[in-house]
Amino acid sequence: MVTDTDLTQKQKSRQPIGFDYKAVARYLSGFLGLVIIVLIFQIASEGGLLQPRNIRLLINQSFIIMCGAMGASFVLAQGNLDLSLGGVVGITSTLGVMTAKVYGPVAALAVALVVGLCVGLIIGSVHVLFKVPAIILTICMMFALRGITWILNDDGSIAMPASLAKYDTLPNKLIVVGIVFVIVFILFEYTKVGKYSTAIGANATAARQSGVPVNQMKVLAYAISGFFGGLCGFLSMIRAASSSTNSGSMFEINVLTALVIGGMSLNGGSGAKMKSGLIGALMLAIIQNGLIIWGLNDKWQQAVQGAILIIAVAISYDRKNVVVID
Amino acid sequence: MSHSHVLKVNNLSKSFGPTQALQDVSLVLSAGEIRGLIGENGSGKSTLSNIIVGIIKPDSGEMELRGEKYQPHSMLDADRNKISMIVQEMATINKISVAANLFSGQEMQFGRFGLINQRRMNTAAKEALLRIGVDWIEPESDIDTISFEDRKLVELARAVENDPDILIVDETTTALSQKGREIMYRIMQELKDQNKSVLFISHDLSEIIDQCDTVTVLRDGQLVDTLEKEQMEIHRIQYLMIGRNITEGYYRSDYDFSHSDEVVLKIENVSYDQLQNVSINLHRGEILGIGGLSDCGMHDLGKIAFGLLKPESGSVTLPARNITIKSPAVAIKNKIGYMSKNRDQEALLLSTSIKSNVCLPSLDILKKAFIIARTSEKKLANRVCSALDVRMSSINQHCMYLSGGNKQKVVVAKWLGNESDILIMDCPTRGIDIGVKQMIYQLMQDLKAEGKAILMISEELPELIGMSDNILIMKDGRISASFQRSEDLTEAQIIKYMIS
Ligand SMILES: Nc1ncnc2c1ncn2[C@@H]1O[C@H](COP(=O)(O)OP(=O)(O)OP(=O)(O)O)[C@@H](O)[C@H]1O
Ligand SMILES: [Mg+2]
Repeated sequence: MVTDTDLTQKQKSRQPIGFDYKAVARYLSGFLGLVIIVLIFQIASEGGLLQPRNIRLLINQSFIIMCGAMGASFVLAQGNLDLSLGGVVGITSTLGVMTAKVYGPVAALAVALVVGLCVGLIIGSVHVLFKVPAIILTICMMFALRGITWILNDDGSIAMPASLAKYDTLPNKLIVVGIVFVIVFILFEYTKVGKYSTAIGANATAARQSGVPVNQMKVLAYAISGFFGGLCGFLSMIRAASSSTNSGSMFEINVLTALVIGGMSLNGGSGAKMKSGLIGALMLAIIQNGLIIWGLNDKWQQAVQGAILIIAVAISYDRKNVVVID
Repeated sequence: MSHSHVLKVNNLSKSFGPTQALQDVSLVLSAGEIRGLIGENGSGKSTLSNIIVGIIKPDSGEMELRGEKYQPHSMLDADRNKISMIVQEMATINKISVAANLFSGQEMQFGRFGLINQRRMNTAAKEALLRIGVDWIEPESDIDTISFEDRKLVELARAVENDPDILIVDETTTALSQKGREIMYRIMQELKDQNKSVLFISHDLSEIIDQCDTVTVLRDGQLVDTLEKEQMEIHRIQYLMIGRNITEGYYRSDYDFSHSDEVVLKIENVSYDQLQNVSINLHRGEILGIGGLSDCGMHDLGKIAFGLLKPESGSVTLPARNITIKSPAVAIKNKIGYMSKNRDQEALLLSTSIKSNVCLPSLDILKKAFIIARTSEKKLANRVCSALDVRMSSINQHCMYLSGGNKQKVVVAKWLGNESDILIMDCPTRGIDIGVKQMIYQLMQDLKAEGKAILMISEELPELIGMSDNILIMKDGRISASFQRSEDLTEAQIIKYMIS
């Protein structure tokens, strides 16, 4: 029955007959969705959501995910995923703490960025050279890095020098997110890196025939993702004032959820929008935050987040057949 | 002959957003009739045939099949009503075998207890292929491994297997070489002899005149006229199609053998698959035509010249700069452009805007420092798209919503914007209407006059003879003959070097 379903899909994409729930979902998974979620939780929490104290909390919860999600935009635009990010955050925050103890914060940042970058380079190169599916590689990398993180933290945690706690301020966070946004935005919208990445996601063969160095771009995308993953590791170290065996756990899932509910297409191509990470991370934080206000414990929160991810993926998956007018 | 009118189409209209693709079209198809359907790119031919097979629903109007109301909901529905279509785009399903493609949707006829008897299906597929006279395609092979043309023949076998009362052929012959075309023509005649009907869409006027009993002309979604066999005459049809006369000089009018001696692209002793020690020199200001049957290796040669395929031995070089072409990226950097024959799969990003498609190979030209400004992208896209008269709602429209010919124009536009010095064109006018064809031929001459070099791979002999300075004919992976441009060159002289 392959032909039949194929054709009906084609048909659907050509002319939406009846209720086009994908079109609705498309509008919801973006800025409008953010507004709606804010409204819902603002009302449900009787105004608690937009209290200054809570806003600060929301930013604390989401700014690292925002950076990670924006950094992963290129990988997603190419139609790939980076599930190593949690591992990257774990290892880089741990190495960051260890470095900071001896050489100070600047060295710690440098180490985190370089290690993240190297992890990305390794994933990209192995993927390209040995033609191993990238998603599997990133999962393997995640486990390997988690293991090393456990070992380095010696089954416990390492405290960061107390003097660095002064960097954990709201303005600093906003500045970092702002800088990352500007860099990724320009790269994504106005340079070859972004345009080549979306082209690869849309049709790798045609991209190659148009002169896109597909393999190099794939390596570069993972390198960028890893680099910003390293940044996230550093940020998470500053925020937690320590590293632990748990640093970065669930981070890749949070990033993925943020991207998907923010409207990023999992198939890559022109459905990939870099603003998705930003909006989605905020949406995710508000949902998580709202669930806490509602009194759900964290085990239930995970279940709810899983459900949200499933729904968002189901809705956004065959974006390739759905046109996103830009 | 109970119903001499098999299909009646009454006042069909269809619009896509602002585009009125079909407007109040009525026609009657009789049993035993081969009806041609012709019109400019975007005139509504595919829309009409897609409505008849249920892929698209009309906004208004109705259809009658064998005297009864007919409202197909899907292509399978049409199949059940004995209407089959070979679509303009590729319709085979990748990653499964030829046989599985042939019987997709009907596998269960080979099934028992929910399992499919692969061997029986393969045997049946072999028979189906033999029935249309194709003995060179193996039913077990993966559909991805066979050529573009052969995939179209698999679609034909599939359609014939359904034993249709009406066969619709949308722009398929442009994907076929002479051999494939003859198979197609024969099937059409056989159907006619069985008092069945064919709706045949093509841009090739002489083919339409040869094969069809009647021809209907569409223009801007409206039916202009239907001509009987004796009324068919090239200039008349052309006039009906585009509303003006095509002036003389469709092809090049000069017969000078005119290009510089400077070799710009050197293909030396290249072997790959069946290609054996092929050497070609492309000169500045030359249009070099390469012809042959579609499996003679010439399409691979084009890919090798662009660095897409790595030859087993031999090399492709730019003598002036002493550069070896190892990848498409290197090729483009050195101002070589390449248009694949396989438009939807290899030449376009269908789910992406026309603008992005056109700009993709030219980003290096567009960028200042490392920034690519939106305005310069728009400017480039608008310039080349209007130069080629792409029928679109805007440059932001996604390519998948363009008509076949307009997609092809976007492919040409892409390399026009790229300012390439060397163009490798594989079947450049595939699916393009006569008006635009003329435009592209003119463009090729302009490029030649500017000193650019064109390697034109084509399955159309008139195009090769009409445009090339030199023609190389290939057979079984070797160059079997070469001809210089001359007024006296005929198709017959060339054909004998193409076939065994
Ligand atoms: N799904 C769609 N969405 C929007 N516009 C469409 C769609 N399908 C077709 N069109 C538009 O409708 C018009 C008619 O298209 P159609 O495909 O019928 O042309 P055609 O006669 O088959 O042309 P060609 O010779 O190039 O194949 C074109 O302008 C095309 O852009
Ligand atoms: Mg068409």
